[in-house]
Amino acid sequence: MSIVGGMHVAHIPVLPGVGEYLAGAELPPPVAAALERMVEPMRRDVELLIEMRERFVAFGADAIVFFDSDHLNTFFLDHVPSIAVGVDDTTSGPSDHPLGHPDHPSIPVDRALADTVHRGLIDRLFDVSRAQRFTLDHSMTVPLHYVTPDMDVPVVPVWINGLGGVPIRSQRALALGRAVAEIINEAAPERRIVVMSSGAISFDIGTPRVFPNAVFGIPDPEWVARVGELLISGDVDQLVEEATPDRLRDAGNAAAELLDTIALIGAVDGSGVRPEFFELREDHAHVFAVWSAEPEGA
Amino acid sequence: MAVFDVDRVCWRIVHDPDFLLAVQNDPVAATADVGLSEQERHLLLEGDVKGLYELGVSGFLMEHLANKRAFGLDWPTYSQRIRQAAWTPSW
Repeated sequence: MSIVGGMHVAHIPVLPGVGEYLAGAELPPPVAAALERMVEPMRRDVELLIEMRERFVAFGADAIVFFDSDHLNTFFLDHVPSIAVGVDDTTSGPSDHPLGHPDHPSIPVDRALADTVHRGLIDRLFDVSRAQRFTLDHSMTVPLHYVTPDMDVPVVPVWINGLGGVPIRSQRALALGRAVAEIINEAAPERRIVVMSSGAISFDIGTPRVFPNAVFGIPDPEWVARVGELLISGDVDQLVEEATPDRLRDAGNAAAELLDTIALIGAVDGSGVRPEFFELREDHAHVFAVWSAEPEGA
Repeated sequence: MAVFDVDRVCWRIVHDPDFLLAVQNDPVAATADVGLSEQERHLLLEGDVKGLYELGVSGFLMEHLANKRAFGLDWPTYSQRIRQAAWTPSW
């Protein structure tokens, strides 16, 4: 084996805090009060993330390759790499400290695997940045907090620019995922790698299209539904065709996070791309999905 | 117009605890030497996110101001003001 499966989940920043609150953790009263107000809208997301941990454990992964769109925390507008691989021994997060999110001061990174992925992508003509001494923000730590709460499974971050200006094309994201799978399957056939991604489908943060009394909006719910259909059907080629730059741009300033999902599908589609689990959360325009790269009965 | 420096202020609100504290204690002094034009600084001190957005400041980054209740902003205030601006594509 090598890549054994893929998982796409949500990364609403306060989900770990809400989970801590629901678990009865001791929290400062103002934090607990703020989190309490978020429980009902996010209860199902917390349930799904807990379920994702069970599914993650079932994969028996020894490393995670994580396609992620940094939220201008690891990188900033002075230099936004279109694609970057994180190569180091350890990292930490969340660097943006969402309300109630426990700190994870030591998150292992699989340096050898990350180096292999970086070199392999260069060999395959992807001009990929190499990041060292980086931190992770909530877009990666929220999923990791739930699927590997002890932070005992090393991660290889592969960032795809989604919030820092013009992103790569969907075709390129799919090719990236396929290249990463090829590299890993060739170089580390004995490994059990789970590929992850997270993010929304249509999401605008801090723009005039936010909901009343909120700082986010969902400008294109039709696109959310359409992407859901295509993910369920496994028609990745159609998804890539429809995920045009204009469509992603108009679906919100965080909508290019879909490129991470597309890369993930590229990495697991060697034996079918229909998810074995799928749930669309329309109120936050994101999905929870699991793909298996192992043949049934294996 | 170097809105980059306003974007950087928004980033520092999350990543520079000393700067956040300074902004909360004395926003006028805290923004005196961060590279902003007079117009940018005036809009920031007024919490005028509509005006800043129309200058080209990132809505995504300005949201940090509401999260940290900087410059007189909270979620309802931020939302009410930014919704008066015309949306422009972020790239």
